[in-house]
Amino acid sequence: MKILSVFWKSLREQLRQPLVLALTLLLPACFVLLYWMFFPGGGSTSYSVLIINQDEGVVLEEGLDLHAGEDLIGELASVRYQSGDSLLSIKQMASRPEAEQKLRDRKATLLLIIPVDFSAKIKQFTNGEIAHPAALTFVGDLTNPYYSVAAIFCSAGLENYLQTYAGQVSAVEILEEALGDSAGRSEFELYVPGLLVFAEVLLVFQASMVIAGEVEAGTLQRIRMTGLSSFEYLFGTGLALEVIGTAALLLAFLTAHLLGFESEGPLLAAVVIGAITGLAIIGSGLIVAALTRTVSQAFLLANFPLVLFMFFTDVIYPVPAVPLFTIGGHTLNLFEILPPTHAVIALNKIFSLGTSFRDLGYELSMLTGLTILYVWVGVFLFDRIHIKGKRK
Amino acid sequence: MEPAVKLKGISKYYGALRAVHDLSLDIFPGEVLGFLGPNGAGKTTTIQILCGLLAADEGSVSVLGQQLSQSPEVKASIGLCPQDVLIWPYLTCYEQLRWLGGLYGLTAGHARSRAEELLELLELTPKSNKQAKTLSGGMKRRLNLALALVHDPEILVLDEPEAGLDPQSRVNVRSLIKSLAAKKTIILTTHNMDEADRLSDRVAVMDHGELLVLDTPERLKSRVGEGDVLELVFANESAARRAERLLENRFSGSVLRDSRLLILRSLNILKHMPRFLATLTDEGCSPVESRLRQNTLEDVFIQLTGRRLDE
Repeated sequence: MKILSVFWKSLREQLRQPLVLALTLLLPACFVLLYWMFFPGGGSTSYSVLIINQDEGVVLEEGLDLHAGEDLIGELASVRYQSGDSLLSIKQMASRPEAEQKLRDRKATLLLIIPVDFSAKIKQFTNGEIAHPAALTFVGDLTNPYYSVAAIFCSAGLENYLQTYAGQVSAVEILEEALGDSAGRSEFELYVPGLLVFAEVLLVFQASMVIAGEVEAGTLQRIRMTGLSSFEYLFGTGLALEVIGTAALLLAFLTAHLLGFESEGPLLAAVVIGAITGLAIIGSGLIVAALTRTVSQAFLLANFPLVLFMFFTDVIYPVPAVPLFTIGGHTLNLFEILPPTHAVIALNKIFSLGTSFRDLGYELSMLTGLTILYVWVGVFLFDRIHIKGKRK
Repeated sequence: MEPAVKLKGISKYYGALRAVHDLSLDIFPGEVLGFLGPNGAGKTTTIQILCGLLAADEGSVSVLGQQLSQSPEVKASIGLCPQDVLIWPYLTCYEQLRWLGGLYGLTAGHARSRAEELLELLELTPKSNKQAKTLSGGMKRRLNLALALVHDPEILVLDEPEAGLDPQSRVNVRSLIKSLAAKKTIILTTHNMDEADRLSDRVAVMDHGELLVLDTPERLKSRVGEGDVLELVFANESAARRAERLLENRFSGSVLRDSRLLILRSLNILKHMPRFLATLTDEGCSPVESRLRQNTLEDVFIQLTGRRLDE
């Protein structure tokens, strides 16, 4: 009953601070919108490829003209995502220095130079004449993370061209079988699970600042006089934060949905995963609040878990595994001690593979276990430092 | 009579600093006890120990016959009005009174009626539905007091209750304390000697963590000396010192000097006043100001510590 009373009090207080509330509720939805804008129409990246076509073409025995360079360009332009979006954005250039400048400015990813004798070489190849291979040149800034992707797709396009136009037969055929709906997911959609977890991660500020605010204002002293336990106070306050966190998650999901995002699996499962993650984040907020005495200190210190949760948990981008030990056939990685890691994996499985609750056993149990641990540590520290510690 | 609050051999240290030293004190039901002392005397530390917010390093506290360390729930029988305003800025006056009442175990209906009653009593009814952050400083102080009273505690601890109040609110709060004194045990800390004198049944004077005296205001004042007090203020300290030497030989009462101020205490001092002033004028050290008053607790404090309370 007292927990419920604290819950209503805390919810009322937070709803009356519109700026902080707006930050927590709207920022994740804004990030969803921002990511949608990164990828044209919420689709996927189109890699910019410049081409200098020096091919002079040849006349075939039948009297027909062969312009293999142009054919190759057509082939590259037709490389598409399963969604139908173009993978490569092709632009023909006349001058190599101008093209290289665009590469340096990162206005393009790769420069493909088709040699003068490209058609002649293709002709020799189709006639079975022994010839030196045509020398196609890839030019690019190898530190550009998009370069290698563009190079791979250009190679694949070239391979297709050789099979289709030059009749080259490959000894190996690769069959790609996508799990669930993963092949149909746009790049934007791949980021959505991380952005939804981000909605919960942002709660670390609100959680730590709300509780540190009570310490700073001294009102905690009044609460202590009533005999209310730390658990009752923190649990009631945490529930109010959980409501706000879940609202932020749903708002971010709704935004993504309006921008074309669809879930393969049950939305309820995603909400439950989000809610448990929210509790874990609130637990880390309690730890921050326990270690601080003012709202500004809490705000500063909350950046530490925020960075950990954002950059070491696949929320923003995948991080390499750092194995610790293997137990029951499963290798536990260092970053698995951070709850959002499991949340992102679970949400990916739900959204892209249509996985149900039943098949999320590992992620769900790790997430729940870590949530209990984080909340327990938060309550313990808060009680020791701000309740019992104050009596020292 | 069983004391409502019993402090026995209380000591509290912060590292090398001795905040309270071997303090023993009985506070009886229905009594108003004034705690007097300068900043750092140990008043607030004592109050925090008494309220169970701070643990003593030595000694014990019993409240209403129960040891505070063994029965922490007895804390709920104390209402604390702290020196700092401790209110919830984003809750309305009514909401916070009702909410805190609920935490103290009042039923919803009782908490509601109690909140309304206190808002009326402290003249906050027009601001009942305003968030506390929008109140003026004086109103916040009154709300601070209302929060201490919400659960109708048997023991009320008021830490500087008049600080920051406008004159009208000060009069109102003073009369409220007087009316509460009939039903409750009240512990009052203050810098204001006049406040302590008017409101307290007994006064405890503390300094450097020690209890210096504990008695009724009348007995404490009579310790300093019977009669009236004449205060003479001089242009500078050397004039005051010269006047002190002159009057010591001609005056049978007590003479106390504090910088430019000379305090003369004697029965029927008014009768001797023209003669003193004439002597001083003849010797070329006339006071720039003279005041006649009765003994106060400030005089008690000066006599006990050799300095004024606000130093």
